[in-house]
Amino acid sequence: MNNLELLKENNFPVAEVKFGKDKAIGGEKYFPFLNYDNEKCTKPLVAMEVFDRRYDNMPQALKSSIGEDTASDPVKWAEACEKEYGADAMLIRLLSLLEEGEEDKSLETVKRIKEAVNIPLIIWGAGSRKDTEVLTRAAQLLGGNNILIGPVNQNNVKLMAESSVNNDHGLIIETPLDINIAKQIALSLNNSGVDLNKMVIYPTSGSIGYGFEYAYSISERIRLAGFSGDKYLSLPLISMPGEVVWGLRETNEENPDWGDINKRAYIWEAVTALSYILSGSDIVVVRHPETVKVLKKKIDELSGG
Amino acid sequence: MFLIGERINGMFTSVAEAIKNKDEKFIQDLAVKQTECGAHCLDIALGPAIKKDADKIMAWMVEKVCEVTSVPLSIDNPHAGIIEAGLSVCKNPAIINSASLEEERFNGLTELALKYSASLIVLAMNEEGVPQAVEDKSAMGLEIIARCAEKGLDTDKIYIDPILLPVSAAQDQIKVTLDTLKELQLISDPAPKTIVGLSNISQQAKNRKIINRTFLTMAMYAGLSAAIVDPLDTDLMKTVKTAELLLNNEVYYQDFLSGFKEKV
Repeated sequence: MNNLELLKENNFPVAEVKFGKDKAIGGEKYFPFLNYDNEKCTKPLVAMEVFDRRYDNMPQALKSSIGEDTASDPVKWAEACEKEYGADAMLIRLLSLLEEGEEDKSLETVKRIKEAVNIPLIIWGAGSRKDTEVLTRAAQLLGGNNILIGPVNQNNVKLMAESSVNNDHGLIIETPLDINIAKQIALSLNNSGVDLNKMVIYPTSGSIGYGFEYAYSISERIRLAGFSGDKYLSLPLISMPGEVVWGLRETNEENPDWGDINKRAYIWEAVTALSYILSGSDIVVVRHPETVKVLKKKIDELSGG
Repeated sequence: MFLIGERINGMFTSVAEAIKNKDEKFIQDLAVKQTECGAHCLDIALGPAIKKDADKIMAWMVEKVCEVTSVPLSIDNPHAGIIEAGLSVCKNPAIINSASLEEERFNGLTELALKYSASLIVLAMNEEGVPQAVEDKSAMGLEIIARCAEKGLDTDKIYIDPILLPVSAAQDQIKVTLDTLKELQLISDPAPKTIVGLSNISQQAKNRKIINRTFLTMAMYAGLSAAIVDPLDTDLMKTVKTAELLLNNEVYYQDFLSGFKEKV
């Protein structure tokens, strides 16, 4: 099917994945914000992320908005994200696992955050050797609430599949911008008993100016393949601008030629996030409260209200 | 590649028996098996032995198959009346197998296609027979599209069959058919759909399966859209899958052969 035909008549919508008590992601039949015949546009979710420990070396622009105080207490931080900043969902990044012996404490924090907020949750590893163990334990704690857990990669497919089947939660497949790996992991999960409507793909993010273009083209390829009938690629997409923009010069360096850092930084995050939304992200995960505001306004405008 | 399963055909002894004994379970199981093996559509043919009540039998077969699957059905018969008997009870999308440019047959079947919103396979031949040269076959392809358009049948409802002859009898014609398929890609945008009855190429030959699947990969490269095949031939189905990856029609993944039973 050529692209034009795809846009008008699509028989292969993206899988719909339940998320939280009453939300769902996916289900779209077209590229973002193209609602033919006045069909309602699927609105992407704007999630915020917190850590399972305090935010060390917090960039100035985030300090001036969220405050170091709030960001040193994960529960307070999570509550602020939901109640003050209007996040649609929350990602808890288990950074404490980068240190030895923090597993139980991490789980305790996750539990407390779950009790404090009502928005859907994503539990996300830190790239530590303890990731899979803690993620699956967290799944046991929180399972059945339509939470999403990740990353799933080629090394932990079996364990994460088992967890999903036993504890009834969704999985986020991480792929290093490799569409073939994404498809292979989706197949492996499916063969291990995970339904296709329990999977999301994280193609990995790059900030604008730092590799965004390739991430865009991978997301687009995934979408096109899905819309053409490839069920292993017909999955919702997630991106994490918050993970990649806050270590850059543009969001940290004072520079009179670049404008006020407190504004510039969140605009950088917002533009990155919006670009991901246009590439097909069903969830974007950000850190700055103003980003959330900007994105929600833009999403409303682009969806026709 | 759109695959039409060819096994529900009275020319197979087991199917002829089932038709004779009104063994609906056999027909239905065969339908389901073919779809499980990857058929996107099922051909329904009575076979040469049925002379009496052919229309009723066709209707019965179509009805029974519609009970167990929702895939499109290819109603396969030389006679328009029997085709209509099948179309009139077909709950699934239908393809008429087949017309040619012979005036009467063409007019009758295009009308049926319009009446039942069915797709139509049209053989690139007319009263004078089957053209032998690429240019003549392609010209006939163009004529098929033009005459269907005159009748009000959209191009996306047509499958052009350039006619596949047996390698054992018309060996030089195989490449002609392949070149015709290539030419047909150029006659409109989007290109018209094309189809072959794959088993024809290995009629009267030894080692039929390898002939079938080797030709099919060549034809896929030349742009073939659809084929009437034996989906129970696992090697063939694996070959199609592999060819789709090589042609970048599907995203590659490591376990691309998982899901194929070793033996059906």
